[in-house]
Amino acid sequence: MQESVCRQVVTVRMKQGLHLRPISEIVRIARLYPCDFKISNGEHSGSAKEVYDLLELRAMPETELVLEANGDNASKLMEEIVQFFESGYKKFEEVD
Amino acid sequence: MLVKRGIAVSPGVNFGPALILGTEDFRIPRQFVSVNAIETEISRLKSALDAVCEEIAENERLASDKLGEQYGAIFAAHLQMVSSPRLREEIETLIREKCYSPEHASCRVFRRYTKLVQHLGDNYLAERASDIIDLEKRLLKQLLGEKREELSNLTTPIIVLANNLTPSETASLAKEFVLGFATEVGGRTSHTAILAGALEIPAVVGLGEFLSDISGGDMVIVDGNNGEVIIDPDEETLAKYKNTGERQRSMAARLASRRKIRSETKEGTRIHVMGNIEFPNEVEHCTERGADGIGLYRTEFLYLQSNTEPTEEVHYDAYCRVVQAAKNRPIVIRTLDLGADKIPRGYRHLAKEGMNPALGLRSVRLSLRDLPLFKTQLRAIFRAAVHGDVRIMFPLISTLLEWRQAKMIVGDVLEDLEERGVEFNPNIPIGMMVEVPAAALLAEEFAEEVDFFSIGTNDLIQYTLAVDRSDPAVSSLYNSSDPSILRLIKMVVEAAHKKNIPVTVCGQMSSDLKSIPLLVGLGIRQISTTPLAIPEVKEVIRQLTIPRAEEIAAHAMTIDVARDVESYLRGELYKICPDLFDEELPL
Repeated sequence: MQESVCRQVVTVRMKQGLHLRPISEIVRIARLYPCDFKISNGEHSGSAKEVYDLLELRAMPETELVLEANGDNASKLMEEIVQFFESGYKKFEEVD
Repeated sequence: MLVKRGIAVSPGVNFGPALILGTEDFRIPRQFVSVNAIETEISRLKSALDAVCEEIAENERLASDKLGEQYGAIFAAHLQMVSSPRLREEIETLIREKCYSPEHASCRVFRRYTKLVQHLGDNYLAERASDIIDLEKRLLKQLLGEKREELSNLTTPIIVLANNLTPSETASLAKEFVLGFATEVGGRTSHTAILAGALEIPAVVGLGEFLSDISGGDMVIVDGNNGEVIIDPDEETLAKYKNTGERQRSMAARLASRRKIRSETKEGTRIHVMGNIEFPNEVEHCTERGADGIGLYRTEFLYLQSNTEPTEEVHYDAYCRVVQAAKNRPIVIRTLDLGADKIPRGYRHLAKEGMNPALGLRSVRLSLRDLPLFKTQLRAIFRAAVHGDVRIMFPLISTLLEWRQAKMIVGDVLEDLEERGVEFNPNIPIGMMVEVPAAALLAEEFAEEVDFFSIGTNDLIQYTLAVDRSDPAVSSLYNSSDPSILRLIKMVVEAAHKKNIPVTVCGQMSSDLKSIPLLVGLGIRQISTTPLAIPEVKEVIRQLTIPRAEEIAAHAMTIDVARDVESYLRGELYKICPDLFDEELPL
């Protein structure tokens, strides 16, 4: 059992910003883990497990987002989400 | 309370619960629930949400199996959105704290997210809002179940709100329950405007984006006099409007009781007041208000109503109905005026995308390009003319050559009819609309060849001032009181008088009461206006003397700015018939 808090900054690379499809994938990943996961865009901040929270971040391309994980498996989830922002999102750009 | 300003296209004031067309396929019947029903309502919400989740999960399975996993993923996203604890919580809170019905509360919450997505970046993202709208519909369907009230089967009055009204959407409405229209886009000649005018219900168009600020069932006021839509009005505002509505109805009743009185000035100069119509059944709207005839029968709806081109018989039947209803009063049939904002399906290919439709292939230009289409209509008109006083006018004539070409086609059509041996009347007056500045400038030359002029002020203003009045960014520059417009009208009237041919004014200006003394003063003796305005126009005329009108026109011609002309005319109208004014409205 690893108990930890971790924090990291990522940049939104999706051509259309953080919209429904990538949001849905982030929520799917986050819900696999028990820990809390917060994403912030300036003053807007919300849970990675909640679609509507992420919509409200209004994250446009090139926005910097602060990721914060807290609890069991926090660093593992952080790794997955960071990976998604770095390259994982690409497969969601091709559909539609 | 939220007030939105748009373009007033059909007068009157009405209020009622909102129905949002396009996103709602059915009406939300109740806005509130009683306090002691809250728990039952919340459990109803829960089972509806669960049912939607099951529905989506089933779709996800089907899509993954049949189409592949990436398609299933679309539904997975929907599932997350419906199963979201936050969504449930927000809807529940509205039910608990505001006693909203689950339907209304859901509509509100979903509408907020739709708006969020719409404003998230560019168009690509905005389109994704349809995903949320789809979820909203699914949930409402579950909640309403059997109680769903289909649009074709409404049982209570509503105010219809839409981005834009398409003919098919309006066709699906049970019209006796429509209290008013308001749309985000559109201008004075949009489909909504025309339909609202024909139904005689208040309408405002060109309001800009507002549908995401409103939920089905919200109270809405449509003020078709001032071009305002008020969402969720406070008590005081609502009371004020109730009052205005009643006052207007009693004024309308008073004027209607005087419908048989002739339309003439104080000293007895006859000014013919006629009606503009779209549909044959509107003739009655005109005659019951004491119209002297139909000054403009627009025939576009024959083309827009169905996907196929109307046959000669379809035209003929419609014209005969108008002739019959008009009982020997004159009827001026305008030939096809399609193009610009009204292009029938079959002709879209002719209107090249990206081109300027107002300057493109429209109106008589389209008729001259598609002769079978043009001749079909003309044959029907000459046949219908056997039964009454029918006249023809061609819209958007810009050059003498165009006019002569159209007349040549008339010659061909008469020969065809002769050969066919059917009954027709070849001796009917044929005139033209003056709505292009070029035609106004050459009015004297035209007057040598035409039987009458009809000044179409809407297009004349648009082309003279180079303003598209359906574009909210510039619509404020569109003004019928502009000195340039007054001069053009004067030119046309003088040319007509010189050659001794009749000249009518149709278009919006003729239902604008403050313009009536001016038009009469400029020498206009025939006015064709929207049926609803006929009693008021007659009333203004009856309070007028010709010298007074001429004085007003002469003074107006000396003013060099539209705004000053406008306020001068408004002031004069107030002096002539103060009781036509609503005292609460600013002058």
